[in-house]
Amino acid sequence: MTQGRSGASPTTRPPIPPAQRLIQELGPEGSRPRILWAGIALGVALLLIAGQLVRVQLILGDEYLERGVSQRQHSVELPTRRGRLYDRNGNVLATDIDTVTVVVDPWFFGPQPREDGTVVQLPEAERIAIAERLAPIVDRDVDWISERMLRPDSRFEYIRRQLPWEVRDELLALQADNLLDGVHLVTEPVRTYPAGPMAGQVLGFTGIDNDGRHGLEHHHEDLLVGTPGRVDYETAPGGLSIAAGERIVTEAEPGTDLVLTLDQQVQWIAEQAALRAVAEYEAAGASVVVMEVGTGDVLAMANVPVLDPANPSGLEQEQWRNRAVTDVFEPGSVQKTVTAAAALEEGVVTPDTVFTVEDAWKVGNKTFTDSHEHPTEELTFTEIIEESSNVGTIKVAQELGDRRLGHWLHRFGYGQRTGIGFDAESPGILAPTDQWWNTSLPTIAIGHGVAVTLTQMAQVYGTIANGGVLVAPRLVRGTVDAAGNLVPADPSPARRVVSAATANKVGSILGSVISGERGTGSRARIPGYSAAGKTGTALKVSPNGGYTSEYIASFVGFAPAENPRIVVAVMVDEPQTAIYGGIVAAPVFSEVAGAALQRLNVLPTSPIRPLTDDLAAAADLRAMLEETGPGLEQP
Amino acid sequence: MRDEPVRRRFPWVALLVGLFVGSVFAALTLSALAAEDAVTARQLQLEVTEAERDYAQLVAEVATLESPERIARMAEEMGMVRTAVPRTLPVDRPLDVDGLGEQEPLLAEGDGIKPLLTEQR
Repeated sequence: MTQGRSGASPTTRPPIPPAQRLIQELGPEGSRPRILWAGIALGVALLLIAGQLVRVQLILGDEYLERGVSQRQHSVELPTRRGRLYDRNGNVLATDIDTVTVVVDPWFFGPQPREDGTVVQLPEAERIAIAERLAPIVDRDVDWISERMLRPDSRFEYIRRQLPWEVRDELLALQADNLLDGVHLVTEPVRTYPAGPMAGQVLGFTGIDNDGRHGLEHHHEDLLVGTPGRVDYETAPGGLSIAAGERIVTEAEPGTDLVLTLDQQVQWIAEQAALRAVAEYEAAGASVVVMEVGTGDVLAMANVPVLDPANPSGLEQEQWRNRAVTDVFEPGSVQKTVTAAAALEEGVVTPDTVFTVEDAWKVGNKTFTDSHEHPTEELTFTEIIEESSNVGTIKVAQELGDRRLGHWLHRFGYGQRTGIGFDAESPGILAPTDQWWNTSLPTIAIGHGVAVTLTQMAQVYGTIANGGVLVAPRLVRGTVDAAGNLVPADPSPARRVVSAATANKVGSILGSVISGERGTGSRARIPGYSAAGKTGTALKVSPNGGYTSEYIASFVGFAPAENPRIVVAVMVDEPQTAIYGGIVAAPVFSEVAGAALQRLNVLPTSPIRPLTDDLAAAADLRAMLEETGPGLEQP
Repeated sequence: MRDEPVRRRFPWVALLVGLFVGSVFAALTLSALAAEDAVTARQLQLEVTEAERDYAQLVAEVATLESPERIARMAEEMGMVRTAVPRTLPVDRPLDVDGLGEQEPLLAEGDGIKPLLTEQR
């Protein structure tokens, strides 16, 4: 220890520093600098590599990661299925089917610069050959296709969208033979309406991208549209999918299926009846609403001209409207039902109250007349409505007064949307009573100076038919859950408008309109069923004010009269060969209501020839044949 | 004497080479099996998609065949005409068919909606 502390002994060599010892060990002095430089170079290289590692891994790590993923991973969107539309019995009214869309990648056909500076391009002859193979399949000109193939700065050009699925096999066969290089096939769902143009204005239609554009398709877009799925997969540098690579599939969620209140049988019957009326009376159009009493379910909502949802451009855009909901008209005499209900509910009249009725009556500076000249007569209130006397109804309304008539019109839903659940539903027009003129009361009492939709009128008569309780109409019965079961929608809101006694009295009066001797609605009679209703004939209002020379003929009623099941509202627009509701619209009511009652399995309320009579007749015929023997051959 | 160390090392080298070759082979086999499963799964997925597409197509075709307009047209082609006055066979209870006793009503209570088979689509 002492020796070590006082320094090295004379015989001991001082220790060699480690670096010098390394140099000594590396070899002769001549090679030492080279080794040193090599070491330094190696160190610098290692530092550069380490630096690059830090740059790539830490500084630019995310960017390179993203670039790598984008080169390796690809995604494909899985198309979703739009929710179906069913009628109330589960019949498909609208559904999706797959189609094939043909697209090209113009980059493939254009000049492609290579890394070596050269430019290559598919020979024109080959491009034309591909276009010629495509042309007959997609029904396009060769020149048109060829032009699309060379669109500059584009990687995606449609050649033909939404071809039938069967075409795909033909195209795939050509692709398999490498005869359609640069052409791609895309699967696209397209909306189809299996029942054709039935209920076109109600169902609406979708655009080419399958988005709801009109009608219920648009109104319930948020429910009907699904969520597209996605497949993320890895590809090799050549673009081929790596079978064992990571593959993440996010399934597409189909849209919600809607069950409508429509009954496609009743809908078809209503449309056929409306079409016949339009043809017979050379009318501009017609609408029919059939509503179930008590639930407000709209069983049919027909509009003529009919709209084919698969080809909406076949009809002028203004006729795409569901006129039963969006268009208003002056109701004319069908509105006398509200005046009658108000007068009865207020106790102003009874069905047997007698009025002296002239054929003309002056109020203020305006003279109101009945539809035909007649001597002054004594009519009961029932007869006034039965005959549809304007003068008699005005006299009743004058006893009722402005305020009370306005109140009851409002209670029956005038001037308010029904809430049926349809875009652009009109609330109708009903001026507040404080804005009424001195002639407003008589005018409105007979259905002028106000405007309603046909659906509103169906709601009014539904209220009478339902014992005075208003149930709002609705078009959607519910949705379909994953197990295929109906999930009922909330019932329509209901509220009492008039007492059951008043509703029954009004119903009885409306029954006499059809069955009474003086009734204007005799053509609305339904074989086998009792019915109640009211005719209406009104001049059309001009968009510029005043009236046109055209008419709207209407009939609104319900059946069976004793235990109503359905309300049918009919409106024929601008009939030419006849104008009265009792002539033009009442037969449509009869046809539609009769067929709808049969469809609903409602037993006839009045005796008609039962099938048992036919069976008895057939038995008699058989007996006769047996008696006469084989000489009389059966047909 | 000089070959002695080589001979001593040979078994170890052979073992290492064997292990290496075995590992590579095992890895390749597993990869191939996984790829086969992936291909099978992909194939099945395509078949399911194709079946769903066929189902949707058939739903639309059946609905077209059931449409009232087509049925009415076919009925007319067969010479049928619409009756002006319907006839009815009032029955108080379900018919006794061939002595089997009273038959259940054709329509059950509740919603008479068709089976929609949503869960199978």
